[in-house]
Amino acid sequence: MVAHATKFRRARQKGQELIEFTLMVFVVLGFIYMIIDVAWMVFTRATLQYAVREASRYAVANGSDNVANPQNVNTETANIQSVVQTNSMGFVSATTPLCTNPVTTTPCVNINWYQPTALNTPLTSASGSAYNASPNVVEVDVVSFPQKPLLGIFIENSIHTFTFNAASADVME
Amino acid sequence: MSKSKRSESGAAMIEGAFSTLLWVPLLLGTLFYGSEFVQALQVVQVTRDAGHMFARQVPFTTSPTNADQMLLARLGEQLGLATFDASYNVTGVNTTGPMVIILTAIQNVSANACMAYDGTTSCPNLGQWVVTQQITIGNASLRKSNYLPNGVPAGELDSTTGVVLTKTSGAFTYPYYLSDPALQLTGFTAIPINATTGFPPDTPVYMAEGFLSTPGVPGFIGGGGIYTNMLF
Repeated sequence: MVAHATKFRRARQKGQELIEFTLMVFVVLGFIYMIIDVAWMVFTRATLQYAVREASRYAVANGSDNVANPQNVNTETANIQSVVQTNSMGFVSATTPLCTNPVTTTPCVNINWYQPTALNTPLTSASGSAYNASPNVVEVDVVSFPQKPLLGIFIENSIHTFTFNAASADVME
Repeated sequence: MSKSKRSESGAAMIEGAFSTLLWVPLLLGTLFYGSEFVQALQVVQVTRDAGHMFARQVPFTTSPTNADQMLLARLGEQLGLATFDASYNVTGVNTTGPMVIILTAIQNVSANACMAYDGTTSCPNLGQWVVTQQITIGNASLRKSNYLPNGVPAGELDSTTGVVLTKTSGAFTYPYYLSDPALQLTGFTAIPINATTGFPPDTPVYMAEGFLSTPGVPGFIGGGGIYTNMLF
């Protein structure tokens, strides 16, 4: 009689443990996903930031008045775009276009040159053919890069998409 | 349920509560420091970009809506340095936001420079590092320069360019930084001066300081901020 009662109690406890375990698995997995997703967002943002920094560094060192490697504006723009792509760990692809003004397609890569006295007015072909020269300022941006949390793999449409911008600027050398 | 089993079930709850006290702050701390690290990277980059342009003579001004500050606003928009219009276009620098960038030109005063003060080779700031220009971009109330904790005295900076103004005394016209000890840097020892073998006096040095105020995690980690400074 006693042995039977003990057996019954053990079986009931096993069920209870299973339910507790199941509940805890959801909580623990939720936290693990949260950590991975935050790290994923941080990684994306830091990578884009690194990419534009490298691109602006490339830009200032390879302008049209560079002695060793003079490049006209169009060549340098294409090369800067390529540097962004190369350093972005695949986030910015070869098909990511250059930004238009106003921006119509996102994400896009924005590359602008300015005179130091007019840093809100991008230079254009109408400004002359070699405005990628010292002492102008170059600005390289990745505009509105969308990133979904990894959880979006499972529940695609109900997950908020974050958008990141990354920007860097420097004076042409 | 037996008596011993009932008491064990209470123990499990208490153990759970204790372990929660441990891992919840650990988790929040991990997330908090993770986001702080990436913000620190951005603060360093914006400050470095601003400082390098300042050192290369980009004529920054003190107005938050001037074109030069708009460029910095765009660079730091994810750090709260920008204000926006309804279409999310940057309209200027946020002067009440969480970030400030302080651009300061400094130099060490030589005996030759002192001649402008009273025609002698001595003046109150002889041999001192002094501020010759300062531009504050963003929320100026967040922080002053680490090396000039009281800021520049009122009326000694040009309101547009941030250059230290000049003063006329008798036959002499000289900049305030020769005469006013309040413009001396405090605790600045980063560059040893040596006229013959090292860094010469009267040579401008450009300093950029960036500060981002961070809220912390209420109840766990106090609010503070991310500070960086660099010289060019």
